[in-house]
Amino acid sequence: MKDYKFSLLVFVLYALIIPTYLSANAIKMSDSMMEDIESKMQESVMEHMDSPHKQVKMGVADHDIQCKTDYKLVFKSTDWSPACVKESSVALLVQRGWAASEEEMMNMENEMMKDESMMKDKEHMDEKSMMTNAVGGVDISMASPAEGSLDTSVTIIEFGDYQCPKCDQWFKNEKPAVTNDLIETNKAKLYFVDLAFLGEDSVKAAEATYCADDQGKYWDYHASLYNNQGGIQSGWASTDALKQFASDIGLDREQFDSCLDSGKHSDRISYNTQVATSNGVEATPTFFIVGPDGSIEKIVGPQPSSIFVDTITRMLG
Amino acid sequence: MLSVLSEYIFLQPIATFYVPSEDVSGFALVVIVSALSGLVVSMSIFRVKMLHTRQLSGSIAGPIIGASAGVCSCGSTGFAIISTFGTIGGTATAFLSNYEIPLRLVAIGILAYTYYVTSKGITAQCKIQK
Repeated sequence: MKDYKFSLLVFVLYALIIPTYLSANAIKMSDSMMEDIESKMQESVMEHMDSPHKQVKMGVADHDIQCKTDYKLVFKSTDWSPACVKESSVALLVQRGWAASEEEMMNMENEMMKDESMMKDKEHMDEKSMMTNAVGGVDISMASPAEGSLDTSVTIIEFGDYQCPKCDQWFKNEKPAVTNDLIETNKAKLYFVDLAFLGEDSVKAAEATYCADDQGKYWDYHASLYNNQGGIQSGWASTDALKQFASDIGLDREQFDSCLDSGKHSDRISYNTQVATSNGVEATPTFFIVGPDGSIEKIVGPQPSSIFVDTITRMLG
Repeated sequence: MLSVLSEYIFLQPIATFYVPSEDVSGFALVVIVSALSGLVVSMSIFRVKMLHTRQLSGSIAGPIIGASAGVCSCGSTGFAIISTFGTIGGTATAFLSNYEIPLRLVAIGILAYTYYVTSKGITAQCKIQK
């Protein structure tokens, strides 16, 4: 009986150990076989490798270029173009200054990595600003600063031109009531997006508002422009006049003049004009009232303030 | 039609008629141009059809000048013109917008003169010869 138990134990042990051992060996064998096959394939590929030029054309990054066996990747010191050269020639080429040394390559790589990381940061920031500054699908990342509390759930986006007489009419007749009834009561906030299409002076006037914004006086300058509006392209918004308006509201003239003369914000105006046209705006003033649920009510023309009040009251339920 | 183009009548979001107090004179001129245009154009058509005369220049020029003055500034018409014709369109719309009131007065003058000439012509031509 005792012998029987012992032989059963031995049998169980063998039944467990032998297959495990065999399978482990099988894995080892298959791994080594795979490595063998891979190395043979690599050797074959290495021998029939495309030239660096062809690889670049196929979209391979400079630093990932593969060279044939016994060849090494180097970069020309003059234009950093990649080349595969015999390993024995590398030292000579570096010595003669044709190929970049290891140290130079490291520096170059570091610089590239720095640039890449800066680009990624910029893309990330751009994406973030786009995501946080789109209201009802309208990109207001380059628009004016908000007038009113940012906590309000309704947003009024005004598309306007500083030379447009109807915008001026709305600003003088309706804006005060809109400010009193909607903005100051924290029911809505207002953004101004430039649709500068009535001539060169419109673009310059819009640029000037952002130069004033650099000194924290966007809305003062905005009001100053409408209060001084004259005929379209009649010279009331010439560069000299714009600078004078800056003095009138107490801006630092030196800073304002250098900002306006440099055209620092010209891209911003082009961008805003593009935003306006891409959202189907074809007249100024046009207003988009964006409700708490993201729905948009479009108001075209210098319509009375009561329309704005009714629309926003309806949106707020 | 002129009131819509001149932005005294708005169709969206709800139909609204609104004339700001400072723009009453502009609206009055639009009404006068419209009334005279209706009168002069119909009289001219009568004259051409019934009396076979071909004097239409005044009855065409008057309404065109009256209608184009002011409506081409920053509304959709002006935007379309500037987008299509660029700088030339911009200059034209700027002119029509800057001289809105004088142009409407000129249009009224042309229409009034055309009305006088047309009514005189109709009276003379329709007089029964004894």
